[in-house]
Amino acid sequence: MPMNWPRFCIPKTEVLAATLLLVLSGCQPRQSVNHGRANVQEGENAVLYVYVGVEDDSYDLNGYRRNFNLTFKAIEQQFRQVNPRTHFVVQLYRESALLTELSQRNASGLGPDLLLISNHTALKLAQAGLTRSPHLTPELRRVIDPATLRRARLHNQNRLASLPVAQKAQLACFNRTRLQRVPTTVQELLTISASGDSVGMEVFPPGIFWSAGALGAIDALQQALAGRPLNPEQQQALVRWTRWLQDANIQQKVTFYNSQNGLLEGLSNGSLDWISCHSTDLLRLQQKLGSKLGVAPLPDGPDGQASPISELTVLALGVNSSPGQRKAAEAFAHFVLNPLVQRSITVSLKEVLPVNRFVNVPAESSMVLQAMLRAQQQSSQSETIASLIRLNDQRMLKAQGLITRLVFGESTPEATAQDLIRTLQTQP
Amino acid sequence: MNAWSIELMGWLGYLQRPAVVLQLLGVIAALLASELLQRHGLGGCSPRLRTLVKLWLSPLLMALWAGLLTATGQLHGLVLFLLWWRCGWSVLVLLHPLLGRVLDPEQRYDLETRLLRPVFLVTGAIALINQLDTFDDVASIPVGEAFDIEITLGKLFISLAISYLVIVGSGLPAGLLARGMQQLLGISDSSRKAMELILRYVVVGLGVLTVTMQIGVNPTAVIAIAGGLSVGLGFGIKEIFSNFISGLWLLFEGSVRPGEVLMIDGDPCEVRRLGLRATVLWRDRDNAELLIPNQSFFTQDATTYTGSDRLRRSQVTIAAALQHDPATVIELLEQTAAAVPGVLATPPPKALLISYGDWAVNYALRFWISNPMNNISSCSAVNQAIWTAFKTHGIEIPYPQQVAYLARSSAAAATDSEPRRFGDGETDQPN
Repeated sequence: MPMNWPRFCIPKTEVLAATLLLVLSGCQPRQSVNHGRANVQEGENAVLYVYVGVEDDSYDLNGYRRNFNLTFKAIEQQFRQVNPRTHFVVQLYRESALLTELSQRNASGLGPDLLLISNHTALKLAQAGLTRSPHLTPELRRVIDPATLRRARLHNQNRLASLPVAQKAQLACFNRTRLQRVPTTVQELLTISASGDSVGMEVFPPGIFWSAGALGAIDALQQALAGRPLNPEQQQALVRWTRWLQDANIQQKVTFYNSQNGLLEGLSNGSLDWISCHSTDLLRLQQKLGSKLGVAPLPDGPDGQASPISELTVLALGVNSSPGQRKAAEAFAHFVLNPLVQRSITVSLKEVLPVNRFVNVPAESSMVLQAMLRAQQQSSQSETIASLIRLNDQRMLKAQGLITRLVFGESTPEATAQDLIRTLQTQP
Repeated sequence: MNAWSIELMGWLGYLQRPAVVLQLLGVIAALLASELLQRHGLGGCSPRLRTLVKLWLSPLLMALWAGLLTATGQLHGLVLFLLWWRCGWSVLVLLHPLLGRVLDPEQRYDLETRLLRPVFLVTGAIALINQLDTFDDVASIPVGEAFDIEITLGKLFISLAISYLVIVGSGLPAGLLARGMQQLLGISDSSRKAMELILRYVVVGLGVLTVTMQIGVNPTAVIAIAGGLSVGLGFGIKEIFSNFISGLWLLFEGSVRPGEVLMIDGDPCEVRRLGLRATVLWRDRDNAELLIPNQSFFTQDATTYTGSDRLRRSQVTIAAALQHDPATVIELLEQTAAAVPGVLATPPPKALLISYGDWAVNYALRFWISNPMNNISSCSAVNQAIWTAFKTHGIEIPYPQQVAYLARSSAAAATDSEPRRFGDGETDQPN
């Protein structure tokens, strides 16, 4: 059968090239660099590429994308009232993939202008030179809590890696239909587990440090992390905490997990009734449990308040931006920190708290916000600890090993306390 | 504006970055230079050099551009990406002659146009999207709604990709499986082809079902679609469905399968393909391909030469002069036919005296051939052999002869009662 083989060829390259050249030359915006101004100049088009980091264990990316887009659209509309010619392209990435993605895209010049990510990822990216330091105006320095700013700073380079824009809270999440009453103290927590309710906790230190405050061991941990010696009282407090951890595991209905994801799965599928959780997990849990989901502050104890470590959501700036995009990105970062927007984000998302110290959170309207505010208050005592935990801190991994040995009865509370002191005192 | 067009327009924002524009300008210049050189600068060059320039000049220029950008500390990742893509295309072109060594032209054409090039282009497009955006983000853009289900670009793309791959890619596995079954069960070639087609239909059916489930259409909606289709079948698409069912029926029945020979308008035609709507037959006489709706085989009589076997009994007729002994002629005819290549020895050729004509004895020579499509050529060969044999053995193939009687007076008629034949020595002249 006769057959006409089609010719392989580049289709009309000249025409394509000419068209592209026209597009390229026509698309150049009028740019004027004016770092002193927060707003982008009138008549200046800017497309901002925003990468949003999604925590790796967020299982429903599409659900997250829908919710996030709704919230972001509201902020974008407000911003465009001030800067009408700025447009946003939002892209979602797993936080674990961001380092690789950014390395590749930055090399092409296709990297983001802004990244909305967790603080530890921002530190990692800044250390790798994949983001640039934001310009911190005196006004921003005034409204953001210095301890919060300290956490967003690269320890070894003494520069800001990103701008904190929201604070996540560590909370207690429980199944309303299974728990008769919410434990408000660590003793009650063990009591409800003794009466048959399943309790889940983490062995990763930042996830279990909340209980150290309740047992008076927060100062001891702080001293050790800072590399300073502990006095006998602090050492005793640390032993009290490690003993409580071991006692907890002796309870048949208390289970320790290696990751937060295990806890969330357990509560979602009904195998756990009470867990420690983060405010950013609430959407995921809500989707699974619906109205059965209860949220409360973490329980205090005989020796003090709970000491949850709050995580920060930050805005980092990309390195590929044109002068116009850079200016628009800075303007947006500053805009997000204004009190009205901070309040709007807090109320609409109910996942994060504002970092602007002058924002009044309307907690009366929501039990979740009340719990988050209480968690924020609790976390004030662990702010120093949060700032002492470094990026990829190997001490945390070693401490996790020690706590695991402890809860499985392979080590005594006294020995574990001594090992912890030695481990945490070793400065990275 | 639609969400997808907003996303698409958003990508143009990268052109605000000088580093991106610089990279693209270099790539465009490389393509342009290569194209201009091909058109205007290679007049007297050998075809080999032309091919080399066509395939590798623009990648070489792009590589040089990437090197220059690297050396000057500029960003060059986009140039490298486009370079890899362009090299991939050249490799695909190089595959063309290599594939020709292992595949016949039709198979190579199908493989290249239906699989390799579409897969390369789609993969390249996805990779480009992943450079500018994330595939997940683009895939989540809604394009519409059906049966209360939101159809996103991703769902649409995956559905189309699966459908395409199932339709295009099911041929080879189905063919291999059918071949395996043929070896195990010992079935004929036409049965194998039928089995291959049925397997393809099954795979395509499963693929369509998978796509439906992947989109998220629930079984109730599928039943609703089926209900709607049944009404549609009753009115609008009755013929199409009828042809489809007829095709399946013919496959199972085995009367019309690829390889079968059917008589269509007096010509033997070989079945090439049994499609969803129509059967494709090949007519040897004029190398025509006939597309006949499957339904026609249900409503019209058809003659097949390959129902139970592939033998065909052919026949030629011949006249020999009256004076030759019929037994001699019959023997000669049978011997002659038996000696013609393509005429089967068993069943043996058979000659028959059919009738006495006005000037000759009419014989029929019947013989068997193994390929029903070769009837005309076999008959021609036998006729030629008979001519030669008759000439050798002095057997006359007579011309038509006519006996004419002249009208005469009654007296003469009375004296000469014997009729006189025209041309027997005397010539009767008309008055």
